[in-house]
Amino acid sequence: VSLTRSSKLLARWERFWFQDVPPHSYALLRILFGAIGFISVLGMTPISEFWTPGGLFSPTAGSGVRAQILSSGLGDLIGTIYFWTMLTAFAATALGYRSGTAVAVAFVGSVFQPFWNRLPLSSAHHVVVVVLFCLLWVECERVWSVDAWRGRAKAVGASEPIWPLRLIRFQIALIYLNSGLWKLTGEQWRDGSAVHFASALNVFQRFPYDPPAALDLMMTIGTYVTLAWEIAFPLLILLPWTRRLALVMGVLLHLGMAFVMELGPFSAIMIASYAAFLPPETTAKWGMRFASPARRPRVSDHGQPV
Amino acid sequence: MSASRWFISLLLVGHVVALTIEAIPPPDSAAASPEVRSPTRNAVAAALTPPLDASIPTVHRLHQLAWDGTAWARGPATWYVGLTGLGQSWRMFMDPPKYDEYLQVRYYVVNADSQAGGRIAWTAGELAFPAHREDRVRVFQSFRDSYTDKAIAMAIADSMGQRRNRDEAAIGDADAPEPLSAVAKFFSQRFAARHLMPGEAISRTEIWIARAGNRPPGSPEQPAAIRARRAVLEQYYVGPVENGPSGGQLPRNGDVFQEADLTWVLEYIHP
Repeated sequence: VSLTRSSKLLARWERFWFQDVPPHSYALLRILFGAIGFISVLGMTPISEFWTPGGLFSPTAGSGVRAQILSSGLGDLIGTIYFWTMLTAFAATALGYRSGTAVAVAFVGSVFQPFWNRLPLSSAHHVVVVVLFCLLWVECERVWSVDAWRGRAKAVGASEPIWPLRLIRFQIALIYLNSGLWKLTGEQWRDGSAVHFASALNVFQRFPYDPPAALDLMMTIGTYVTLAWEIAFPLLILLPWTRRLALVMGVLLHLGMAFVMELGPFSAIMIASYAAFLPPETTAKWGMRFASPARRPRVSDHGQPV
Repeated sequence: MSASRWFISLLLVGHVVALTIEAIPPPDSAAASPEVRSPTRNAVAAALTPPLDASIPTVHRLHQLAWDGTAWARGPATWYVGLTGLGQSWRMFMDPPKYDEYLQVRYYVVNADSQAGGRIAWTAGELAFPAHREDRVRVFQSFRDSYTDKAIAMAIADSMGQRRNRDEAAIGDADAPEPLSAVAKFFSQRFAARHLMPGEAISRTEIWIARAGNRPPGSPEQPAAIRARRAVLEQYYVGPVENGPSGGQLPRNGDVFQEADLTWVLEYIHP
């Protein structure tokens, strides 16, 4: 009996991590994160402001590689090369041109960016890093890419393992839980005033008005709903119907934040990360509707490529 | 299950465990247990604040347990997360400031005549932070501005953190460069390129930071105060504000001056 039970457990484990899924989810994530990464790098221009030592650039101390580059006078050259490399890598990632190399360069470049100049980087940067890390392990160029179009990618319709997608889901859930628990320790989240104060901050405020007193109750409810949703997110994504609720709430919340506050690419990146939570079969089927008939891989009723 | 899948399974478990452990912050970084408050501004806050405040000691105990229970694996987890670049902190908006913040850069310009007399020829002040006008709706340009704002906000936070460590905990590197020096250098170079005449040079750059409290929720709006502050900011929006020659003693770190409800404090002098 115990042997059967352990075999069943093993089979479930194998299905959970190694089930083959259509490659479309990975392609969608590649396109979204490549595009947002590209826009983010473009946002950090002019180059002289964010990439070279004369700009808003973390002051140097110590004797690390960065300090040596800067003291040798190569800071401007390296910074300029760094910028163009990142811009090219994200563009190639989005387009699916030499995707394996592009994703790897975008990932390594993003990991080292805080060491080069951390000042302009927000939390959005961390999300890009964790998603790129997971995309390193799959061939995300199999569909919707220049590589596939030029026949450089492996057979269209081939599948990929689900574990990198599960790792992205885990990461996003961890981000929300972590963020929610930090918020719980903040007194303004507990007394319901956090959304009021956050939306009143002059640095982020999109509209030139302070939150009106008449909206106080709504902002209080918004504070508690956000807190509860973030902490509950890892549980909500476990069941299909609660997952839908969590994701719809997430989209509304991030769109609402983007509407009233200027947070750079943060809202777009969080919403883009939800592509990892869509069932891969559904993403594949939706994708088929937009693909040209000649290039459509066939997908079975269960979403498996055939 | 194949040998390769066993191996990948092992790596996956290690990855997930390492990220989870690294997500637990040191217990001393959490705020102290609070008094249980009873706000009265609306029914929802009145109902939920007391139980949430009362839950914090339990949260701290669980936090301490999680920290202690994972101590055995923290070394390898930290190493792995550092190696893969996946380390992160999600304290964003944990405690939103209750004030608006501004940063002004002041320049002291000298020329050949003034230098001979040991004087400053003229001075100017430029509002550097926030990068946008706050009397207008922010649309496309504000996306790019958000990076400038983030960089300056980070430099301010780093500078304040560095001072706190030095003053209160007596830790930190005394020779560590002042984070605000990046802001002073960048803006003074830009100002010199745009506004100085041949023969002029910036002899001194100052960073002034102002904070003005935001209205608490439920309290009456203060249109007069907002109008007064906007009138002050308006003059900066058209570009750096030029003043005449600086007479008398130069300001020192910690000096203050007032504009409407903005109390400017001199935080850094460069060079």
